[in-house]
Amino acid sequence: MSNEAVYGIMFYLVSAVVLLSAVAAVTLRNLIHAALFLAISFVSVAGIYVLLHADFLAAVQVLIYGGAIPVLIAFGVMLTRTPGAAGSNPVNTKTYIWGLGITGALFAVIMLSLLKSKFAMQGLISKEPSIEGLARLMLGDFLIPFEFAAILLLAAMIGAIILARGGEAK
Amino acid sequence: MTIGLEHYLAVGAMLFCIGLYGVLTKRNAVAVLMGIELMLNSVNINLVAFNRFVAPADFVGQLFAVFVIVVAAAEVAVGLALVISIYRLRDSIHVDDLNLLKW
Repeated sequence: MSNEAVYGIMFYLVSAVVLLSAVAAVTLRNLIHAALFLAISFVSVAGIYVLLHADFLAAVQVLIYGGAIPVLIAFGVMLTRTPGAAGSNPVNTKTYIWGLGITGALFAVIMLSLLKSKFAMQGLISKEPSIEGLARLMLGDFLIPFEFAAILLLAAMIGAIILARGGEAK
Repeated sequence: MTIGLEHYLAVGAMLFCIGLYGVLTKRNAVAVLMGIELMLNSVNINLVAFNRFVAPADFVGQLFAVFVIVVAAAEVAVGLALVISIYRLRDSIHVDDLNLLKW
């Protein structure tokens, strides 16, 4: 098999895992199972990053979306108990029909505009490793946003602690 | 069978629509947050795909994806803290029970 055929098979395989586990994550009735499929979907997105030559992002994806965020969501599920796990993820019957309609319409619009668009493609691949390129950008042109991201994370951490701790004990 | 930019954008669009479906049709607030995370992931796929096929000499697209991941992590932490706080006050995290501001 040629390299291109292997690449194509890998692409379709990884995309199928991403999309099917995402569908399971939004349709399963049991919220714990839904969170598990969400984690599978996140980890396989890292495979898409590998196919796109973004090695650093693939590692970050596995670390954050494979580790930290599923744990946070599991905490959220367990701290907010609903009676019985089986029906813990009900469908909102009031918004179901137009939710489906809006989603389908948006998908049709995106696919139509995708078919009509022409992009200025460049075939070459950068020889530079992506970590070096990212570091050069992060500590160069994007230094201020980089520092602001640190402040945002600190503010979010303090805010989450204060919100989850609750008000003063009476 | 050459996999190009359009294939990745189509995957991103599908993932975004699945996430949007989850946000619009779930009653549990944690499930709504999960849908938002799926949507943010699809945006990252789009950014990295554009980086790879349209501007491969630079890494700005990947850097934007890193910033999106940072904001998504902050969002999910604050969002879950809000959900826990609401659960403590109202004993419910079904989004259509949260109608305090409705006249």
